[in-house]
Amino acid sequence: MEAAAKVLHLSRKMPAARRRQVAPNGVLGMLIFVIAETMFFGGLISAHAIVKAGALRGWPPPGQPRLPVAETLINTAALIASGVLLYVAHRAFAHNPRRARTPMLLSMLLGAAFVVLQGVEWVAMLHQGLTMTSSTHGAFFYLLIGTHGLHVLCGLAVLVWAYARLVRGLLVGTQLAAVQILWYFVVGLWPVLYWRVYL
Amino acid sequence: MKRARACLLAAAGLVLATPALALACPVCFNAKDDAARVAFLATTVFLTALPLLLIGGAISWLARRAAQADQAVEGPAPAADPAPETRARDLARDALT
Repeated sequence: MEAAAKVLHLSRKMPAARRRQVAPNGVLGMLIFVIAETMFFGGLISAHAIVKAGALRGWPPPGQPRLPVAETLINTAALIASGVLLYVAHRAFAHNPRRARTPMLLSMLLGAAFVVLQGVEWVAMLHQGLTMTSSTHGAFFYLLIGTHGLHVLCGLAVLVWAYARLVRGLLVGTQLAAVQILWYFVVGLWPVLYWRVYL
Repeated sequence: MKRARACLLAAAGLVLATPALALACPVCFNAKDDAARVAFLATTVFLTALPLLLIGGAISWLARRAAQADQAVEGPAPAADPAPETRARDLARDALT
């Protein structure tokens, strides 16, 4: 009993191990999420590549509408510009958070424009007869582009949340970093999807 | 030992007696032409490399951050430690008093 008391006494005299944060929790969590989502999209893109290569009657199959390549190129430019503006907002935030408001707002608006234009494109494709069940082309188009669109919507929601905190002066750098990781993933993935699905 | 040899011979006999082609890839029967075969190969390489790159990248980033955090915590060089014998003697004296 006495020995135990001595050990306890000694342990109290030893310096405590100093804790250091390697990465903020939000950033690490978002990074793990993005890694998982990258694998998910990797699987979808691979499945699409195999079905496309194995199509005996060409791709897209005969009788199926062609995808709007030129219009979607404008959409692609809007989404990439949105990513660049978020980077500008990040740079501005480091110097003066108030100056990050305008580029962040523009980034959100461009992201929203992307979603709206994609919606318009989907309506047109549905009118032309491209549905989930019309062919594997249609199924993959709605699956891949729809899943990406869902991620863009989630990214937009997170951007709106971050912007609201920025306006109220509550946004901290690590929160902005986590939002940036998600948005850069969404922006960076789109050119790959455009190349594989539209071209 | 005899039983193991008999099992080995039986297995070898089965392999020799199997006339069908063994396919390592369960879906490669669908690869009808060169384009499909290339797609199977490319996606296999892609899906093999992708997790390794992602996890490797994340681990190397965390290792770099940990090294930076260590440097930040250590700060200026501490004063020289007393000799281990002196420290042990001090601790023992503390325990006894």
